Amino acid sequence: MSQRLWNFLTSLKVTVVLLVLSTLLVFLGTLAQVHEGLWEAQERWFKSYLVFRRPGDVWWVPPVFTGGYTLGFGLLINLLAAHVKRFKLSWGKVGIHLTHAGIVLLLLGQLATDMFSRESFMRFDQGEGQTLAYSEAHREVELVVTGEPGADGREKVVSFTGKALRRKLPLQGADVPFELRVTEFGENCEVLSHPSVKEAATQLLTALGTLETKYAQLELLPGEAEKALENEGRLNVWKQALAAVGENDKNIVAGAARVVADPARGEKLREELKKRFKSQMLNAFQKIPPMQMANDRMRSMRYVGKELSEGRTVAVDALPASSSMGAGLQALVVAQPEVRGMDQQNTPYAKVELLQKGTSLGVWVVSPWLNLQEVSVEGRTFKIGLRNERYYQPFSLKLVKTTHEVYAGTEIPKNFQSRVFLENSTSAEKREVDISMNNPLRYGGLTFYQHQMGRTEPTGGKGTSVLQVVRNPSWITPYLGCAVVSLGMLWQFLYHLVGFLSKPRSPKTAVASAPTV
Amino acid sequence: MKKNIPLVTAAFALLWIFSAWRTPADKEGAMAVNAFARLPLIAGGRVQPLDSLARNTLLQIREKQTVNTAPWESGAKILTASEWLLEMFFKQELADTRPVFRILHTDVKGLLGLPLDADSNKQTDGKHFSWNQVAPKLGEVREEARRASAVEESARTPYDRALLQLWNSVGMYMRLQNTVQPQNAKDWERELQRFVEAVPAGREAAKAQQAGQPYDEAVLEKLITELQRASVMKEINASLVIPPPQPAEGIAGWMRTDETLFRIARGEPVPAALRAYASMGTAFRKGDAVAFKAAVDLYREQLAPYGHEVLKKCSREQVFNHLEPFYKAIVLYVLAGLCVLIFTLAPERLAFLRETARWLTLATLLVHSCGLIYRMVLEGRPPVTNLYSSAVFIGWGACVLGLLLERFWKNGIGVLVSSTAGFMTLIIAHNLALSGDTMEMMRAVLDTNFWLATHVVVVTLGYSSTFVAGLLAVLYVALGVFTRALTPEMAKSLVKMVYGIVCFAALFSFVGTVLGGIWADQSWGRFWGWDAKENGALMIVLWNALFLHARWGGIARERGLMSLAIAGNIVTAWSWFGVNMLGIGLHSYGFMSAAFTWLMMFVASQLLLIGFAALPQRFWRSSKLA
Repeated sequence: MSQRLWNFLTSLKVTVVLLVLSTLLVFLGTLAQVHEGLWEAQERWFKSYLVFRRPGDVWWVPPVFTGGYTLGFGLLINLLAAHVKRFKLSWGKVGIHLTHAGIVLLLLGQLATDMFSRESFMRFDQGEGQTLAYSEAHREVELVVTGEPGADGREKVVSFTGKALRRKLPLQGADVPFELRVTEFGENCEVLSHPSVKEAATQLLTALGTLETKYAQLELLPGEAEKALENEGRLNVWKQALAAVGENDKNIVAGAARVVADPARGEKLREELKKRFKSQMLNAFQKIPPMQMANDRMRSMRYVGKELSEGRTVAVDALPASSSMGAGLQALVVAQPEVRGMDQQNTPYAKVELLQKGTSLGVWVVSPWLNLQEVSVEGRTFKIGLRNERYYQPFSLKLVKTTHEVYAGTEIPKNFQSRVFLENSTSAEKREVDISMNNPLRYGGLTFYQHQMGRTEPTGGKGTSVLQVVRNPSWITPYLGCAVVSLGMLWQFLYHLVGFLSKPRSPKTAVASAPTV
Repeated sequence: MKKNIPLVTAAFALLWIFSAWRTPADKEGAMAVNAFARLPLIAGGRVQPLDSLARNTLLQIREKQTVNTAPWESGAKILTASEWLLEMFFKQELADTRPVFRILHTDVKGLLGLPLDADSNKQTDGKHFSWNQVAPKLGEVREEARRASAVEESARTPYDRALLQLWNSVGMYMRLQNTVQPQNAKDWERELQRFVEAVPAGREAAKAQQAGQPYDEAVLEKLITELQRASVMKEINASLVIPPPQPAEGIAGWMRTDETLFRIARGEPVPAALRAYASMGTAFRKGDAVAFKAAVDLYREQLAPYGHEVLKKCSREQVFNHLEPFYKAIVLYVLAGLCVLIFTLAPERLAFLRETARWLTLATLLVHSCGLIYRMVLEGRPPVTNLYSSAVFIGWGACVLGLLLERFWKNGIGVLVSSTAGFMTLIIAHNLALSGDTMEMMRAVLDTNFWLATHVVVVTLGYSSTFVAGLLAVLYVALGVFTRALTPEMAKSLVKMVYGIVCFAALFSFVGTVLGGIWADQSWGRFWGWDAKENGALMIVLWNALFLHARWGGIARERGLMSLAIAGNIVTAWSWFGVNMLGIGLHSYGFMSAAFTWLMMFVASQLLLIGFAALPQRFWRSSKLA
């Protein structure tokens, strides 16, 4: 039995099967990125042991498939076992051994990277002059409770990870006189302030009301048609509405007069016009230019437009509170479906109940959309909030200058560069350094890459910059692995090439014996 | 006699191509079109001659570098790109009658109310249409284009794509119309003078108006009317043709014509370039070749302070455009391929044809290499910078490998591989060139010659060699199933060739992929990010490893290995083209729907060949055991 297992483990057939599966996995995992996004597809296909088909998957997803870890470990075991069995030291084999040793290094290196590396971002969104001593996670959030500044002038921060929030564990921090209990957690939401929603709803409802009065009676239609001539958009709606009642006159005023003459057709036209103008308004409210996604008013307009067009109502004068305390009193927190695309990001929210010695102090709603909220307990003031998880560094970076160049007369980026001032109080280091594309800063076990750059209005024309911060203690393994494999392959290649070139050949044979077709 | 045929053929081929290696001269007494086409401008962020702008525009709107003035009849006058550009700049009413918009989609023609079929009575070939035919329905096209561009790329219908393509062509056409003068100018030189003269009084009036003092309304009105034309031009965003007042400002200081007009209105002097183009226009419209040449020459002299390099680069690029090395290499590869195919009919009697094919391929490789090197020098870049140049380079690498094989086996197979690979990749390159300037500037993240020279070159050689192995396997199956030419010896040598090439491919694709990882680690902070292009390269490595292990383990025999090598073609094509069609990841070049159809056809053909390879021996025409 054990002999058979050993034969199986060391079999070249198993190698070939594993390689076929690996190629297929890489192919499927790449395709999956289209629907699942890069991050999700990576977790599901490559950083897993088995991939199962889920409801809602695209047709080509098989019921079950081997994940990246299974194939990686499979290849590793097969490789090591085969070498134990067949290892022979000879000049002809040196290349093969080196190649495989390098591949082992690469596989282990990738595993270590998966386990130990961490990516985060330093966002200088206040523009030049901003100093940061921490980076933020891209996805992971933390619930924080900050106290008053202590004797050293630094405020104490107690944080709880997103994992604890999702599991709804009771949370208790050192020196915090209350317990936190998560009552609700959502992976994605939108927060809209009551005033914005109210404004948007009033605006839309008024406009819809005006519409009703404008087209209330048949006699009003010819006059409205006349007015519509001034505006191309309105003119088009009129043309479509007229066409819907079978009137194709290019002159809409004449057409309207003709239709109105017949009350039955006139009524139909009136309904068509109202329907079309209404849906145009609702649509206009729901369209947000991508650049305006962060704008509370625009989002409120979209929300209101969507609610009304789906037949729901918006209680303008009695908007519901989303919590019993804090910012949620004046805001709607609307849960959203989770998004997965490359450029899309989820913004979670949580409803947190504060308990002091078993008595509820109320429920707060927290989300990265909202600022930290003040809570007073036993005469002490705390702030609570949900924000992207922060990783503090023992040194700080200050954004000194951003450079954003494009090629003359185009929008093609030519150079993005951030000049930062690095200050480390422990080592008394103070220096300026440039970070640009292809030129990262490596410092303190971290690497800082130029990630994004912008020059936006909210910062008053100041250049903003986002650095990607990577901690990867095993970064050296792929370099070593590659060097070893390349050396091995080169050895093998040259060894055979020399053998091939020094062998005598009779070139004519092939030609001479080729028969005619 | 027969002995000399190979060398003489190759010599003729080279003569044919390299005789075009000179600066195109203008005929005495004719318009100095070529001298004009050598003038510099900045388009797409790089210095290029007007000639390149004209050719690239035509390639995109008409899919050719020339203009047939009456495609509905034979023997009509053909305009070169530069001649057409002259009309576009200076005789717009004539240019607007030239059928340069290539429109094939029936619904798009329907939208524009254009004739669907060729009809010489109506003076149309049903495919090419003039601005005058398109312009009346521009409003409708704009509306439809707005709608289509809001549709997600993968969800667009062929009609949507055809329409957006037309809208893009219209934009490019309008940019040319507004490059050196406003589009509706009749006599720009005079109109410019009128504008320049209106400036001082107009400025006075504007100042007085702002200070709340009495001013001459008519004078101010006149200046504003003139500037409105410049505002319209500004919207259109043409290329930069006016050099900065101070040569030291360099490339970044070049301006569009409208920008100069605004500067003049602010009281700045009139740039020489603006006047130069205006007087070229006058001379051209009058048909005064002498005055035109004088204006071009004068402008060239005025450009002297901007550096010899700019002018020299434009001249060189014009020579390169004129030489068209890759286009002509396609013809030669076909010739070489034909020679070797005929040779296989009677290898012993027609041995000289194999020699001819070999020499011809060598000559073509020389042309191919010269083109490659010329491009590198022009761009100041390693050979592969975009999809277009990757096609050119893959073909080059495959051609070299094929000739190496031929050197060892001398049975025509290598030459066949060289010519087929060269031909196919250059055809692909030719089609890729239809999507715009092939020497476009590199985005910041790719702007590093070191990694372009190492990672990109090595990984592309990996593609080359995997394709060569696949092509050899295709030959094996095709010869075996359909002809009697596959002898046991030949089969054996083909297997050896494929094995050798796959070893080579494994080395290159692995090293290339790994270098890519190192680049990624340097630029983005991770060695491996499962990006689509990275995954594609990894698949090639895995596939080559698979081939080698299957052979070493004796798991696949002759035909099995050949099938694996053919499947390698699919893997490589996916990595090269397929991943770009996903529209995701850091490396994607955008969705290429036309190419997608071709890719699917290629995959299907390879699968079919694998199917043939699996046919039992008795269905093969070559009986290898004989």
